[in-house]
Amino acid sequence: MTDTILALDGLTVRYPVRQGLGWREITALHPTDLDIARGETLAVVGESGSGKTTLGRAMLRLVEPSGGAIRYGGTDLVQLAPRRLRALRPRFQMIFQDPYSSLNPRRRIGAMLDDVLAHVGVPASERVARARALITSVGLDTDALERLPSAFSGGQRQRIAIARALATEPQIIVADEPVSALDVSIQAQVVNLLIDLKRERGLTLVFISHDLGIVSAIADRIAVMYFGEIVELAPAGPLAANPAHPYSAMLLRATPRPDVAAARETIRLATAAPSADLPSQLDPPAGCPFRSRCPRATGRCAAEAPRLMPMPQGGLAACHNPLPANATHDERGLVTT
Amino acid sequence: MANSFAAPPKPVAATRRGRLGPADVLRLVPWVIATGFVLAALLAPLIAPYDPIENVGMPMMPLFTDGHVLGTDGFGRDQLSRLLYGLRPMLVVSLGSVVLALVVGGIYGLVSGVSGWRIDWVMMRAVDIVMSFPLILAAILVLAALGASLVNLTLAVAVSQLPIFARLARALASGEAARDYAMAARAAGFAPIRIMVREVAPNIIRPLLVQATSVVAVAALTAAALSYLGLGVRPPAPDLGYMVKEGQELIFIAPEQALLPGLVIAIFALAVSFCGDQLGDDRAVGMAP
Amino acid sequence: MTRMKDFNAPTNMSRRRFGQMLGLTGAIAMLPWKVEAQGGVQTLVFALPGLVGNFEPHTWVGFGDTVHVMDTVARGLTHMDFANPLPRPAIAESWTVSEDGTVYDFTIRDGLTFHDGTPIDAPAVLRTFQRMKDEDDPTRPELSFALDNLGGPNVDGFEAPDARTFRINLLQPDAAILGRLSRPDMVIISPTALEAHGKEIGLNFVSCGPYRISSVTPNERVVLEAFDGFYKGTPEIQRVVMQVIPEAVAQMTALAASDLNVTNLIPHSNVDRLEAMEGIRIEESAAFISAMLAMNCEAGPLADIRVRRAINLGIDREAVVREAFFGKAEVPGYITPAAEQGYAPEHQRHSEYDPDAARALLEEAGAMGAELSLISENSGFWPRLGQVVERSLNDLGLVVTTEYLDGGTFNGRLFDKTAHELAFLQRSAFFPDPDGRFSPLFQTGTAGADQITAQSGLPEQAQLDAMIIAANAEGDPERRTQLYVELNNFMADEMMPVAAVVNTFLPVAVTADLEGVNANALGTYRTFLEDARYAA
Repeated sequence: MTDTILALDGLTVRYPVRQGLGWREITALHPTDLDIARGETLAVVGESGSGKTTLGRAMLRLVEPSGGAIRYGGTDLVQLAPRRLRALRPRFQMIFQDPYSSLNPRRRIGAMLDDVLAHVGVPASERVARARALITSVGLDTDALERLPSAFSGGQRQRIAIARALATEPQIIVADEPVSALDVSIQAQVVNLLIDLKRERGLTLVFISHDLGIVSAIADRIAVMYFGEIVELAPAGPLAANPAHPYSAMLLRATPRPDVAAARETIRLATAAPSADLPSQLDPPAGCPFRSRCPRATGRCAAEAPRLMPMPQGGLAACHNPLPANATHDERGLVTT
Repeated sequence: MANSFAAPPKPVAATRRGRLGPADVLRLVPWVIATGFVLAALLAPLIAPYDPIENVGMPMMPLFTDGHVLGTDGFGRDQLSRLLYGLRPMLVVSLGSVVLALVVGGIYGLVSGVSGWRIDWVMMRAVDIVMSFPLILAAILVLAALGASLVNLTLAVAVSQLPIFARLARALASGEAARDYAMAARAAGFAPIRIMVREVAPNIIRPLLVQATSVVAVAALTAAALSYLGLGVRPPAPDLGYMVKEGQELIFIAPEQALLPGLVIAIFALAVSFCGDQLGDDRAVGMAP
Repeated sequence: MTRMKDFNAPTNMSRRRFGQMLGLTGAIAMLPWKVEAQGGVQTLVFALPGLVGNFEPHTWVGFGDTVHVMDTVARGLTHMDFANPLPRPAIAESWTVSEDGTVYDFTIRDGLTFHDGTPIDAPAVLRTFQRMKDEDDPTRPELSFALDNLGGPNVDGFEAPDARTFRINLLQPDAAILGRLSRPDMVIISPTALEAHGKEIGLNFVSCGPYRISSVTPNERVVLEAFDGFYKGTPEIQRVVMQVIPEAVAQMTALAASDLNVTNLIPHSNVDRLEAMEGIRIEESAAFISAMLAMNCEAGPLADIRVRRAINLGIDREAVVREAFFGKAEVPGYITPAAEQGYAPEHQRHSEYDPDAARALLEEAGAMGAELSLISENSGFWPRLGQVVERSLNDLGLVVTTEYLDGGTFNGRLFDKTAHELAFLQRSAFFPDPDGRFSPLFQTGTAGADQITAQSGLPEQAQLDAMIIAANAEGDPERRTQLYVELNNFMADEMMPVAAVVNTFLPVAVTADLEGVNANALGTYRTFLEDARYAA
């Protein structure tokens, strides 16, 4: 990577959970290394519970990391005192999945934007104009500024959330499943808006999704997460066409497509690998966490946890038996056990 | 009601605005009674026929005596005047203590709810300890430590109500703090205090106010009970709870001496508790999607 | 010969209607002691305020229940009947006093036994008294205070020179000792029971009173049976049930329903109402209970005797009697109530109400508008009394603030001269000897003189101490009485550390068919039921 804007170095998140009378820790994010390049669109993909949201929040220190470093320029965000961190926060923004939860129901849109603009030091005289410009830029009328969030639909709210994120003129936006709560007919509009704005403003975008289909169309790179770890990190095109990790292949299979045979296959897969086989985070298995669902698992997978290794396809994958670079469609799809 | 800011006016509201049905009139009754009591207490100096602590007649004059429509007590003080003035400490203590408990308990719960799990855990166990005392015992302990006075009585009743507000505020605040708008505010770089005050607090205040209305009745009864135990207003100042105590031994001779103040306490408590119920119901209706 | 008492017969309609009016008859009919009271024997039901159930006489665990039960089941060497000012013989049939007044020889009545059959002789009596004196006695309870109530260090020792003679040796003459021996903590305990139960004697109490303990249920009742070996003869009523009924209202209801025969716990306010009811009688009691206003002689303006005199002159005692006691009390003379030796009508001048003179005194002392605090207990008649006294004094131009405190807090401040200015003080008569009002309260070295009134620092105190000692050393009843008359005058005229406020009694209500209840004693917390009988 030529110009890294944010570098994660062994970033780890553990949560305490109640167990009986005491507390135990579960690991939501295993030590993760990830360099994010300035201006790129990085997609983070995984099933729910894979740790992708935790990764998204941890890289902005919106959840407190238990270890590791977040390097931004010359500073480590993890070591930063709260006051100094808050001063940097406007440079990193977040867009949330649920637009009904992400807007304070008791604050008018204009006031909300005004708060943020004031916070980043925009003089009072300019704020109204800036707020109008922001709300127009996300495709809403300026009279939206007078309203409360309850006056808007989900798609409109998500546009407002984008406007709020842009208000600080951030360098990085982390969008956590920004469209999954929206009606399918609106999803594309919002994604396109996001991508357009990103291009216009030269932002770095981390796009978190469970849908490999959507992200392969917009992302430069894709990180696939499983059980709190990145299991494959590769440029979007090669990964979608030729995944190295069996889990990536499974996610590609799970993407709905207009193909009856494939749909049937998806259903079969889901039955063959029920979520009951998902490993418990409280009692993590030794070896590769995916092995219980993996058609290619061998004895080595139970004994030794795989690390991210360069793959012939051009990316990195954590697998002892990766799919071959020239694997046919059948080889990728036919999971026979 | 709660969602009156919602753009399209609801049809229900339209009919209500039009004409008051019998059910609506009935709903007004507790409000009228509660307001009446407050007015009577405020205007006591104007409407009370006598000074409530002066001996203005013979002791123990019966009901409907000329000049003393509710008679006189064992000292010869006018009962009507004492009842009117006696409303004042009850209102001061019940409203004052609830406001105090709402503010202190609300802030406590807010801090607890938005703080991390360690602080939250410690703060809530402290509340559990207070809650493990019966309301009235908690209040008695406070009065034993501070001595009996109107201010201390208000404090004591407030302490007994604190846990209710602390817990409710904590539950509401932790719910709100977990919502993405709070996270968004953090992401924007707002300080925790500001997030607590500007983002979370406005979203928990309304249910807390409804709760406050519904515990005014409990506070009034607690205050009356403590006054009855002699832990409230200092005699000879009139106080409804203490009037019940003074009248109790006269129950065979002049039952009204204990029954009238008791009745006033009961009616007031009932009225405010109905008011609180109505607010709670309206909130439930307003919150429904 | 004896009349069966039928608790269910509707002896009186108005009583029953009264109960029905209260809606309580149904509840009363189910009260447990009523069942207990049936069974064919004459029974008297007495109301107790509480019942701990431990009758250790040398360190009381409960006040009300211990005295009531002790007086009914036990007896000492002497007995005060509250009709006669001098003690009567009880377990001692007679006594002689040495010339110098320090040696008392008591002749023990012949042929008496304790409830357990143990003979009462001088060694048995000695055993009880040694237990008070001997700190190593294995049966002695913690915090035994009996000896203090007998005379403390002035009691030199006890002897039993022969089987029927018990001797008390004093260091100084103490004419009040015969009265002290009638106290409920001076009763004679069976040495057999003491041997058997040691420190647990309070739970297995055996003495020689008119009734013996049949059963004890703490917090509920004590059932007593008449004792046929009592020195005055077997009581006529065979059974006494002492039932815990702490609430005055519940007592009155029970009384109205004939489920209660004797109580001394009803409020003064209800006396006239109960008296007007058929089937209930209010007994006449002498006013042995005095309420006084103690004035801390070291506290601010109270250090000036003119201020203390002004307060004494400024208390509207007629209003106290009328408003705080509903007329059931008397305007006092001074310390000694009219019912006791040592009172003279001239003492009434010490309780005159003269607000103008009081104001003049306050002006003269420059204390007009002075702020004073008054502490009072917050139960019983005290809050009513407090309100009237506070009003009286504020009418003079003082600014008095009364604090109504629970018993513990009140006593804590009362016994600390730095923690109060004005304080109420109650004195009742366990035995009506005039010394009981002076030496335990106003002599230097007592908590009363040193802390409550702080009068010990007054220049006149030395003379008062001497007068108290001299009066109590006087053996001749008439001369002794005169000395106490003078004591009252001296303390009022020269010192005025307390203002007498009111003298009253516990109203004693009985069912109308009951006779012979000692109302004077019950009016001042003593309970002698042996002469009670039902009218034929």
